[in-house]
Amino acid sequence: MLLIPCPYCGERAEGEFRYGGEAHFRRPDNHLEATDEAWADYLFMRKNPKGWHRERWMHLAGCRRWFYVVRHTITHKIATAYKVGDAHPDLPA
Amino acid sequence: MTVECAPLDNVVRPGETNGPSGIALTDRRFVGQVNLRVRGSGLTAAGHALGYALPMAANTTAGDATSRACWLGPDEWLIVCDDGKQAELIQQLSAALAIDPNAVTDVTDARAVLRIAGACARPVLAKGCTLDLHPRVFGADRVAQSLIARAQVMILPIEGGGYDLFVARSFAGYLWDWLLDAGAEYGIRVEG
Ligand SMILES: [Zn+2]
Repeated sequence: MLLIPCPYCGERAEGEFRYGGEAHFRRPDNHLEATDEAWADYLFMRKNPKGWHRERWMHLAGCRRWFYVVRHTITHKIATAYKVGDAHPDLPA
Repeated sequence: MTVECAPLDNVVRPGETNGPSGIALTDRRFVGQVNLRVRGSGLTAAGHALGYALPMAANTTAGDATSRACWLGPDEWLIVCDDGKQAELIQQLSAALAIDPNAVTDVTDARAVLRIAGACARPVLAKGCTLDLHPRVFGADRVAQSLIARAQVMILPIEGGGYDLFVARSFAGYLWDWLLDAGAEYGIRVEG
């Protein structure tokens, strides 16, 4: 069970949260003219790293806010969590 | 061979006790509940309408004799009052917030409120809730949204040690049954 630090509520058990996948990818700006390749990239392609990963979580059973977590996909260690709109913290070494 | 003890002889059933009753369970029908969404300049206006400042710290409450505002999110509160007072509260908030973006919604019928009180209330909740509800960290001005036995609840401590559990009304029967079961070993008194 992960202990996830909600930027609003503090540390809570994983069961209170929902996972939202990789964070910070951007919908094609000019959606009428975006190429199929750009759409496919946006919809399907993810980094899926072995290591530090910026990802979205939502505190479903708590404050119901979306936020970001930096989590290591091998160790599950969580380096930090930050709010939508906050500057993106550096990934740990 | 003689059967001396049936398998369920030592199990305490709802309504029975195996000692001094450690828990009182009440269905608090009903509690007035108003959901408030507001931010920016509306915060001050809402405070004027309520007569006290909205609690801005996560998972805290503020209030007076008439109502109590419970933090639900950075721009969201549940205002709890006696049943019947919510219409007046909504009127006051809506009037005060007329020019600020806001949402004031009567959600009185959305949640049932189950009160669990008595010396053993906390050990019962500990069986199904991951939060530390000891008064040392969960004092009189606190509130928390979490899970109890996988049901979403808002937990509000009450005077004298005990908790009001705000639960979606469709989950109320389930949570009530779970509390009866989890509390059986401490002895349960159903009140009200
Ligand atoms: Zn939260």
